[in-house]
Amino acid sequence: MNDWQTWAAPAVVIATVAVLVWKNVRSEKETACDKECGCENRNE
Amino acid sequence: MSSPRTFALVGNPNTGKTTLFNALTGLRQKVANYPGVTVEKKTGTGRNRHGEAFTVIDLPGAYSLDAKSPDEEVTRAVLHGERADTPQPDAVICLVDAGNLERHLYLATQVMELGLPVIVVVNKTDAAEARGITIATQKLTERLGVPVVPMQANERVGMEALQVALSAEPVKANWKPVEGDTAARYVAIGELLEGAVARSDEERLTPSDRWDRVLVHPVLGWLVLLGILGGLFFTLFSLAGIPMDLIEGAFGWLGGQVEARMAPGDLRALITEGIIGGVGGVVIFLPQILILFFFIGLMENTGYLARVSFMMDRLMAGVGLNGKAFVPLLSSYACAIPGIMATRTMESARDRLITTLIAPITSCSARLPVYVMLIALMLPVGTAGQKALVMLGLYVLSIIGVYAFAYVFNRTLARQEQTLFVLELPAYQRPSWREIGLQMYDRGKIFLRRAGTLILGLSIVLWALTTYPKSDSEDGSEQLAQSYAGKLGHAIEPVIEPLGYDWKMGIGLVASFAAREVFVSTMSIIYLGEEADDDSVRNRMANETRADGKPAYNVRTCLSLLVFYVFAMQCLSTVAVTRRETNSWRWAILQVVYLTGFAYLAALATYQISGFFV
Amino acid sequence: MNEPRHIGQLADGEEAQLGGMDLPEAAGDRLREMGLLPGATVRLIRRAPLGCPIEFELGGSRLALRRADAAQIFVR
Repeated sequence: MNDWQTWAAPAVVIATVAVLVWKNVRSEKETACDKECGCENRNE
Repeated sequence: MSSPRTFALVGNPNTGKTTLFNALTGLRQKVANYPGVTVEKKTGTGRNRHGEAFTVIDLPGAYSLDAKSPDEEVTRAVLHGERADTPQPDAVICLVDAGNLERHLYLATQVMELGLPVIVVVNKTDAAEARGITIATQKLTERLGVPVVPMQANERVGMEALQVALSAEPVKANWKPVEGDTAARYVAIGELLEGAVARSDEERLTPSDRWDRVLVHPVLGWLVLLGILGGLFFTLFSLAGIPMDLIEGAFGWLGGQVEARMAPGDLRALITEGIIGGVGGVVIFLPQILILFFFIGLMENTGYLARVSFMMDRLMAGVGLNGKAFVPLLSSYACAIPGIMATRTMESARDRLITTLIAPITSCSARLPVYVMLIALMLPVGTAGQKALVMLGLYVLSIIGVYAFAYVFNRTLARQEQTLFVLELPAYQRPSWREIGLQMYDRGKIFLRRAGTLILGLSIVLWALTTYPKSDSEDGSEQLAQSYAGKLGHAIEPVIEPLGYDWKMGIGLVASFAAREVFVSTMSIIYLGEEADDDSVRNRMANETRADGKPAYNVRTCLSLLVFYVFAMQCLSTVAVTRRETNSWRWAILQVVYLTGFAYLAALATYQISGFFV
Repeated sequence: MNEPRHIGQLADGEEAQLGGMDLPEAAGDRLREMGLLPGATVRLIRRAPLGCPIEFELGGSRLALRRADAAQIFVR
């Protein structure tokens, strides 16, 4: 069966949230450019 | 050699700085931002004749070191070595225009007085010669004691001589600091140029003048402009469909491959619905972004864009904007982020703010898929012509919105300064395809990086919100109602009900506050669960009914949703850019509140008033 | 001479010597830095299709100014 997928998916989600939060906190602190939100980004 | 030598590239706007920068560095360049301001920081690396690497910083265009705009302030601070993020350059390449040496040397002599070694590059010698101006650069070299290199950067003429100068040990100019005001500096520059510049008095009609006779002609000028904008929008909305279908097909194929190779399960659903569906839904805009920047690049590169500002200024002045706001607003039709960043060329802080505040009302390309989906639902048996008419109506509505809110802000915001409008009209030049291509490459790369990072992350989070907590029910819609997103949708239902929306639309609405196009991918996730295929999502949405058995996506609801999407501020990235641009949360929050509040009221009015007709 | 003429009153293609200007400090500074100094020669090239702004030639460059600003820049 595919039980491993049942826990692997939430693990990926949690890791994603962690990365998103971490990157935003870090960029806020440095008031530097954060690569996701417009710094190197003139495009959407 | 220890660390590579750093050259700063300095010059007035429209001198060909970017062209020279590209010629020196090629693809070895990096675009970032000066922290705290939305001024672009462009750095690149080149090699000198000894094979040693050097760094070039392309500083924003400036007329003087007495800074009068954020752009000029960055240039001033970097040259003074006051920016912690950018070391003071080892030497400065001062780019000056051969057609107007006096004015361009104004900035160049200020730079010399900083005590930094300089190399003077006299650009556009060909255009100057066409107008009867010849410059004895050798004389200037002798007088200043630094290399003075004649160039035609767009044809790469003079690169060899510049390379020689770059390979030598940089030297400081033999220039006595000017005491006194602006006029004194012009007098000193006049003395420097004495006998080095020859002008023929003969009246000449330059090719540029001939072009202007047509392009800013009171009648022909408008026809040409309308033709170009018509061509732009035609390419954007019809030709772009071909590569967009290819991209869609590629992502569909990818999803199919995953499904064929993986057993059904949560992780597979996350990959196909969340990742491939979500990222694919955004990457599909790449062709449109590239087309828009091709047109803008072409207009900018040839010098036509300045003429557009020249012609449009009067129309913009009526609502307190100036002709320079046209470019940021035009860019905003692709995306408000480059649009808002383009406001940095405007000198007046007030004009910048107003343009920034209204930029998100322009119909950015992220709204397109939402419009397309909703119009198809609204007019299930409509002809292509009718659908196009609705689409056109939405664009007209956004233009009216831009003007109306510009007018409102112009009336309400305190006037801090007298706004002076000076627009430089550079001579026309042949477009450099290489340069336009580089710019498109640059923008495309940034766009894809974003799709692979922020959009990817948000898609995964969104998928999780519609999936967890899991219920025992096998029924997809039961499962959705149980999920976090479903609960949220139900919670806001009372607020959105007067607008004609149900809780499922509420989920889409909330999700698209991250980015508008997320509405479409959310709908795929909501109505399909697995095996997303655009057409059948639409069918299921069309068949969706309310408690009373009537279709959920009726004409009134669709109209109301469309109006909501015209005005609502649903883009996290734009909020972030506004925050950075205005340097305060205040304006960013105001922008979200006024746009979303107005969107709510406008959608409410649309739904309620249309009830009398439909 | 009673009312001084301003550069917005020049005819198409007409040249004139700049006199003084009556603009706020920052605006005046910027224009002076760009070479709009007393004694400099300006030539009116054309008016925009809608009458404003107005294109001038100054020291080999082409600049457009609004009518209201041009009306504060006088000729000798």
